[in-house]
This record gives sequence, C-alpha cells and structure tokens, in this order.
Amino acid sequence: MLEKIIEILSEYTEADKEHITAESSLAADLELSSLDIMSVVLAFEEEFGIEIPDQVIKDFTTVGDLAEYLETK
Amino acid sequence: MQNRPYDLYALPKIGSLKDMLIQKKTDRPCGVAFAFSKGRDGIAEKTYQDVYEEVCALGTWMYRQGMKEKHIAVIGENSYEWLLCFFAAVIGGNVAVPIDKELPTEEIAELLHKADVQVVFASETYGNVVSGTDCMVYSMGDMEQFLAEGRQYIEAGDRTFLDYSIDSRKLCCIMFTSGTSGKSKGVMLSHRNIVEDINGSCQLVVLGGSTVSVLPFHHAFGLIVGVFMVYHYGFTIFLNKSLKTVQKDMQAVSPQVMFLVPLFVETFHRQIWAAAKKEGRDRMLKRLMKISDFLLSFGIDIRKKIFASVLRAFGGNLEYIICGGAPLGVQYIREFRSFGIEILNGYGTTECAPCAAVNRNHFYRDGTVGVAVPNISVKVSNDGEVLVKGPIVMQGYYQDREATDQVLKDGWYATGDLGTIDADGFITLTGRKKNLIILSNGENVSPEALEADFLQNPAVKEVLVYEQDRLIAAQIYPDMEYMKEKGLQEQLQEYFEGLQRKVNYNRPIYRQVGKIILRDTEFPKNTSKKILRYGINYAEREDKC
Repeated sequence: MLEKIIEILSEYTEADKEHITAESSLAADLELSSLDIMSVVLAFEEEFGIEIPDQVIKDFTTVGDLAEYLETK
Repeated sequence: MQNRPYDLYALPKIGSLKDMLIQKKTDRPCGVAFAFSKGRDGIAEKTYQDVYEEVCALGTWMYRQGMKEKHIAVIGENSYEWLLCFFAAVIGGNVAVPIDKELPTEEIAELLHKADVQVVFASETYGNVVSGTDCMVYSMGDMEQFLAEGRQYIEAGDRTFLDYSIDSRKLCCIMFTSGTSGKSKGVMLSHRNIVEDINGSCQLVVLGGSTVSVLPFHHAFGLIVGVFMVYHYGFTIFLNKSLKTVQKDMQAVSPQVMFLVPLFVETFHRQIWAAAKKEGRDRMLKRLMKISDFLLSFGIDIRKKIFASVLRAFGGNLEYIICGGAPLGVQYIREFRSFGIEILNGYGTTECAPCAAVNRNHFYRDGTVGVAVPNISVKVSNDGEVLVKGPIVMQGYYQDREATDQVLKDGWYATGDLGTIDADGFITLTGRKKNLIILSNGENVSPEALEADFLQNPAVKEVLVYEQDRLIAAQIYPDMEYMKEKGLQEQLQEYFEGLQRKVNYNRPIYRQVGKIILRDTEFPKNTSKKILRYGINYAEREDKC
C-alpha cells in the first residue's frame, strides 16, 4: 500500500520515490497545498476504488497517515 | 475593446435579497439558477421559480417553528440546501450565522455561543459537531419534509413569511473572521451592506455565463460575490460539493467565469506546467505563448486555437477568473492572459461585505486590486492605511465595542492594509498592518493562536509564528533547562517535531504549522519586553527541524 501511495505522490510532485517516506509531511516535505492534497486523494480514490470523505482528509498530515487510513479500508 | 475607462454596467439595482429572488423569478422563471450533482442520479437543476418557491416554503415552515428574530447558524458543505437555509432565514428577518465546518468542535461551540445562536441547520455530515450544544439542531437532510410542510401552510393561507417586509438597515448575518488577538470576531452585515456590494460589484464587472462555485459559503467572497452576484446576473451556478472534483466539474459545466482565491490559480498553474512537462511540450508551450503575445499586441488573437488543450482543462469556455482573498502574483495574471483567460484581481474584507475594489473586464492594471466599487469612498490615511467608507461597510463586530471602535472611526473602516491609489483610481496594496498571516488560499491564520498552543508546552520558552515560503513556520527558543532536566537535550529535533504534530492535530490543513525552526538565542524585544514581531532577521534562521 505504502509503495503505491509513494508512487502516486512521486508522480504528482515529481519528487524522487526514495525521498518520500511514511514520515514525510504532505505540506512541509512534499509542499502540497490543501488543494493539491484533494487532487492527490482523488487519484487514490480512482486507484483503490474507494471514497475518502472530505472531513477525513483534513486530518492527513503525513504520508503514513494516508497509508494508515487506506489500509483500514 | 481597449484597456481604458468606460461607463459602468447598468444592471437593474436590487433593494434586498428578497427583491433579487423576486426579480429573477419574474424575469426568468424557467432559467436554471443552480445545478448540482446528485451522485449516480445525475444532475439536479433548480430554476429561479423553484428557488423563490422553496425559500418561501422553508421560510414559512421556519416561522411556524417559532423562528422569528432568531440567530440561525448554517453549517455544512456547499449545497443548495445550505443556500435555502440562508435565504429563508434572512428574508424572514432572522440573522444567519454561517460557520466554518472545518473548525474544531470546541471552536464551533464557542462561535455559536458568541453569536447567541439559538437554532442550527447542519448538513447530515456535520450534525454531530453541533449535537452537544444548547441550540435546537435541524438536519438539512430533512429539507424535503420542511418544504412539504411549508407548502401546506402556504396553501392553507399562511402569508406571514410572504408578506414580511425587510428593513434594509436590519442585521442580516454575522460572519466570523480571525482577529489579531487570536479570537474570531463576528462581522455584522446588514441587508443594505450586502445588496449595495452586489449592486456595486455588478456595475464594475460584467458576467457572460455560468460559474462553478468552489469557495466556501461561510466566506463573504464565496457567498456574496461568488453566488449572489452571479444570481443577480441570471447565470447558472453549478455547486461544487468537494474540492476533489473541481476540475471534473469545470470540464462538465464549461464555466465562463470562476471566483477563486490565489491558491486555486497557483495550483492550476503548477498542474498546467506539470502536464506539459510530462508530455514533453513545455518548451513548445512557452514558445507559443511568446508568439501569441506578439500577435496579440497587433490585435491578432489566436489563443483559443493554439491553447485549446490548456483551456480544455477548465472546460474550454473560461474567460474570466475573479480573484480575491489574498495577494496574487502578477506573473499568474500575465500567464493566464497569454492562455486567453483574464484574471480580474479584486480586494475586499468581510467587513466590506466583502468587495471594495476590482479590476474591470476592459479596464485593468496588473499588480493592482482594481478600482473602488462606485458607491463607496476609499482613501489612504497619513500613515498609509487604506480606509473605506460607504454603504458596504459593516455595522460593527458583534458584541465587541472595543474591537469595533478600533477600526470604525467617523464611518471610515480602517482595513489594516497599506496601499496607494493612482490617478485613475487603481488601488495597489503594499503590505499588512495587522499581524494576521494571509495565506494564498485566502484564509486568515492568527499567529497568536498557534503561538499560544506552543507556549502551553513547558519546553517552549519563546515562539514566533509567521509565513515563510507559503508555509506557516514556527520559530522556537527552547527552554534548555527543562530539556536537560528531562534528559531530552540530545533529542531536540524529535521532541519539537512531536510538538508540531500535537499543535497541528485537529486543525484544518491550512492552519497547520509546516516548519519548525529552533534558535539558540532569545528573540529581540521592545522596551515592554514584547517580541519584535517585525524585527526578526529571518535570514538568520536556524536549521529547519
């Protein structure tokens, strides 16, 4: 799961996969704006065939938070 | 049309929001006012006739429930039901209190208390965040039932809501804005404030087609300009329900105009160039922009043809972006113009209901926020602050005389912004007088509120929060005695990263601290021992945590 998330994030941000870890901060390390995060989440929804409610997304701070949520789905 | 002064647009003026609904249902009863996705059930449409009829039904139902002269909060995602609640509440003489759904539950409860809210209309998703308050809570999910009952009352002859006449000086809504003290202030807007802002904005800017509404309705810009102004012009407003689907919605609806904060423009810019780079056509795109700009200087416009692929991402019909809420870099305005989309930068604050100035369709100046709306006066004080006077200026801050007196003097509203006005009336903003951090998404973040949270931890001796490179940064002077006592002196980085996560917990993303900087000396202070917020040499910051 984490690998797939890193792959999507790497494609969106053009950051090297090696530099993205579970601890990477979406805002500080990957420099994603709140609107970017929404776009990335849409990519995850399409990839994994699930729906992530908007009110859950605001709690995502790191890549690990995203992975943890997706693993429970 | 050349870029020079021209006459104001002459849309019929409205006297109230009720007047606006009646005008539209009379002139264009079958015109589509709102459209929105119903998931798998396709797209729902509401005509001007539907809107008026349903506002009357809901308003009559509200009266029957005893909702007269009440303070009624509305909380939830942008939706048609949200708008019905707002319209029905204020047209019936109640005071609407739009609430930011993303705030922590405790803060929402605090705002409801502060605004003396007695009734709350919450969307199904956000009903739980207000369930613990003393307010009477209704779910927007039961809207069909409210409307059915309201219609029955009207059919039985109840005309109390229909016949209610609004005094335009009456308080219409209380909209919260972040204050410098870290506490939100309730901006009191009268019916007159709002309609005068709609009338004035419509005289400066002409709209020519539909829009996709993406800004939150609890913001004055998203509601009054992004919805009411378009409604008054009589074009369809597609209600976007999630920022995840903004571009999908734009491609489906093909809007002619969008009302955005800079965050959207900046993100669209990045996405355009990322896509071009991925497809190996970024250099070609830059060349085409130069060629197109050159031809355009001779009046030859081939932009729709050569930038068709870029424009398709926005639906293919987008001509204007009305941008406000935060400063926008001139480079974005010029780039989007090259593509064939004119960004009309504007200026306002919630206290000005909200639009005080905007660039016009055919009279604009890059780097400025445009000219003042025609029914107000704007001047610059001796110390460089922009002052606004006129019917759009708020009544004051709700139950906060001290804060009101600080900004309202002899009818002039002191905006806290520094600026200049040129001979043609174009206003240029040069900085903020206030401490507030204005992020590129238009959100105001109070540094004091974040600093207060950090200071609750004994390991933080001093802290200063500010914006740096589009992120909220917190510079901390740790209490090394405490850290040594706890045996944590070798783990400063981990410790404060943990504190950063704790402070960020439950905050909307835009309010989260993105960077921690540790310093090994005290902050410079003034004679009253207060940290010199603007005296910090940011170039001397310590390493990022």
